[in-house]
Amino acid sequence: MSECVFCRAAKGEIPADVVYEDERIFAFLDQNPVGAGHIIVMPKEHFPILEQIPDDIVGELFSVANRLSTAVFETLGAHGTNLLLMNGPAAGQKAPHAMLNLIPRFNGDGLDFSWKTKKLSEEEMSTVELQIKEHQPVIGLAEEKKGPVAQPQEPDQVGEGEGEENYLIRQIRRIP
Amino acid sequence: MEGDGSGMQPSPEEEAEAQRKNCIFCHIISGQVQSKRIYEDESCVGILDINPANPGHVLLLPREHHAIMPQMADPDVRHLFVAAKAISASLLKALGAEGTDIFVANGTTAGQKAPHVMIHIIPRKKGDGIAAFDAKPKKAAPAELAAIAARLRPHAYRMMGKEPPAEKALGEAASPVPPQPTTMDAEFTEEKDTSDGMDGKDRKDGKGDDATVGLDDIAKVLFR
Ligand SMILES: [Zn+2]
Ligand SMILES: [Zn+2]
Repeated sequence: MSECVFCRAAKGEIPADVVYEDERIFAFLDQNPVGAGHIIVMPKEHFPILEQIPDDIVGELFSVANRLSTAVFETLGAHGTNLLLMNGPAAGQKAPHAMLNLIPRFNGDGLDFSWKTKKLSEEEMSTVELQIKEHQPVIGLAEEKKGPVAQPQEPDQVGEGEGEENYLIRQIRRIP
Repeated sequence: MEGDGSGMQPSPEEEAEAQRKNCIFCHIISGQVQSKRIYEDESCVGILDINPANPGHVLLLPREHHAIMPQMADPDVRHLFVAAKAISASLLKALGAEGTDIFVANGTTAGQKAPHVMIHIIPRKKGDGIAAFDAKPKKAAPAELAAIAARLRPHAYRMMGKEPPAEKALGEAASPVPPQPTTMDAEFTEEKDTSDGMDGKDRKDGKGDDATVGLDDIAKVLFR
């Protein structure tokens, strides 16, 4: 039924190098790692974007990733770790199943996740601040008007006016 | 009375206090240093990064000072990312962002610049020119992946307070090939002690793992 390879991997239908799994979370090694020990941590349930994942699973996801971070330090002798969740294709998300990357880092590993900084004027910073405050982040807001996540593979089909979460899906919609 | 009064070796408490005193982000959280605060609750504070990757780049900071995330208490970690999700949703709406990158660096090797845990929440738009997260995937030999997974698995389960599954149970999913020794396997020793897994505070290097780097070492590098 499910076409999503990540859902299938979580169900055990596709082999994966599992590092950890429980009822809700699935962690396995990326087959095309950016570095040694690159782990994908994801909810077993299919959610295309972060905003669709219920808060308790979001907490669980990062809690597991954080403890796996410690496991990576202690068993692989990593000198650092990066956590990266690319939310939406514009942010680098490649597949429509929300997932978190845990990347062990070693001195001289050649990876570099640094970015060029932009200089904003005081006025530009204040404008951004006001814009964000007009849409004040509120925990639980996305949850409030939530219905069942309808056909998350096809965010385009999500109808108008169906609440907070669907608004976000429309906005982020160009997931391949 | 041996070991007192020399003043040469600060206690861990004194050291922690000194770190907080020198931490710009602790000063931002307390309000001693100004910032553009876009979110706050009882356990974390979100501010605009003054050197943003994109306009609206938010730094989300736990109020409690910790150098790296594995040192944080588990409930605080959970809460931090629930807040990050709310901020991400807000950036999508407020700025018309088409996506967000949620990024954490633990340790200087990972690109961490300051010794206070922070989550970067970076609003993204197509063609915004940010290439930071475009790391090229590498090819990995299946046997090598299986070997790394086999090394991580027992410790990973114990970190969650669970018994590792019998290798049989994972069966073909893991690998039909028994883990081959790799270069990284050379220093591997099975850890015997069961950790409580949750609290980084009293965790040191794994026992008998001389070659591994402990959390405290990772954290300490940040203070040099
Ligand atoms: Zn899926
Ligand atoms: Zn601090």
